[in-house]
Amino acid sequence: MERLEIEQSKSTPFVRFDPGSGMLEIGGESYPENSHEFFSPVIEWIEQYLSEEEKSLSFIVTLTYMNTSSTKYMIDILDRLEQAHDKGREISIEWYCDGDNEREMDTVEELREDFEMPFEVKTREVE
Amino acid sequence: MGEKKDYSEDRVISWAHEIAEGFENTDNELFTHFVQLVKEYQHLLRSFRQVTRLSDGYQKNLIDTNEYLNKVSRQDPLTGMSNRRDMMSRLSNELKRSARYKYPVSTILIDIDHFKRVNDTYGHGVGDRVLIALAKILNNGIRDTDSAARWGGEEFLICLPHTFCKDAEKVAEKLRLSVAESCVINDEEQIAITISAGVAEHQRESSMDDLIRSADDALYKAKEKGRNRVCSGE
Repeated sequence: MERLEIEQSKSTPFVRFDPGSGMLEIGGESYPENSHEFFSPVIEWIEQYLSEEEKSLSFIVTLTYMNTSSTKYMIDILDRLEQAHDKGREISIEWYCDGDNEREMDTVEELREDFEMPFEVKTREVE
Repeated sequence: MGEKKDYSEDRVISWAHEIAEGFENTDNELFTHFVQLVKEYQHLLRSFRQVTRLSDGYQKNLIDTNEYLNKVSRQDPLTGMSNRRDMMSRLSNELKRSARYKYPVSTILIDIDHFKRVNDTYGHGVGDRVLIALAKILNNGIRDTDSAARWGGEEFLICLPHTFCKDAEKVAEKLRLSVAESCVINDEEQIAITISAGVAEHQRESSMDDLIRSADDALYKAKEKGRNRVCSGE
């Protein structure tokens, strides 16, 4: 499988997926005009990787903002990763939050409790 | 931070149990489909809860950031007072209201005397301290209904709604005296500060620019007459 590289734009995040290392990273800000258009290829790519390879996948989230429809697709991705984890694949999540923002950390911690797969909430340096 | 499950998830489970009891034999395909449907529905409820919670978090951040930026764009960072931009919009609103409800509005334009000399002699650090000290005196000296702003490098503008020129002059004189009686201490040296002030009352049918120009003319008069004094157009 080839790498996936989607460049960041004003309203869409960057997406980087390296099949060699199994690292998927999504970061920046996400408020696309059409979330379905933006995220469908990413989800298809993830599904293909999960069905083809037997290797691990680590999902690194460094988004600082996502609109509601982006949130839906991000939860979609987490659901698929959880399913793969249930079937025995090696999956891990690293979700970076603003260390000074207690509310953001609480919200993501709450999300983490819904999932069985390894899910770490980490803090990022804020400029 | 809130319950993990939506109460409707519990309802779905109890309905499912009720309906399942209606099935005489649980080996059939229909029952299997039913169980699958219930699972999907529960999952949907869970995703819905997750999406709304996560999204709310980010929206709140956005609102907080907006509020902060709005506040910061209206403030002079050094003194914490309203800045020129904020005062202009405030003054504009005040003049509209005063025209509609027919009450007087006056302004006081204040300039620190020989401020350049203070900066040149003691440095900008001390100059900043003088500005901060003056801002404090002005904020304490005006009435609750008045507002003060940093208008320029060494200028301040005060807006006095419901105030005639004569009364605005009294406020200005009080401030002038407070400043003249105070000083800024630098390395055991006392630096005396005085201000000049120009007072103007809004004339009906005239613009905000006219009002500010009148106050500026009055301020100029105060400087010409020797500084450390209050002058008005009248």
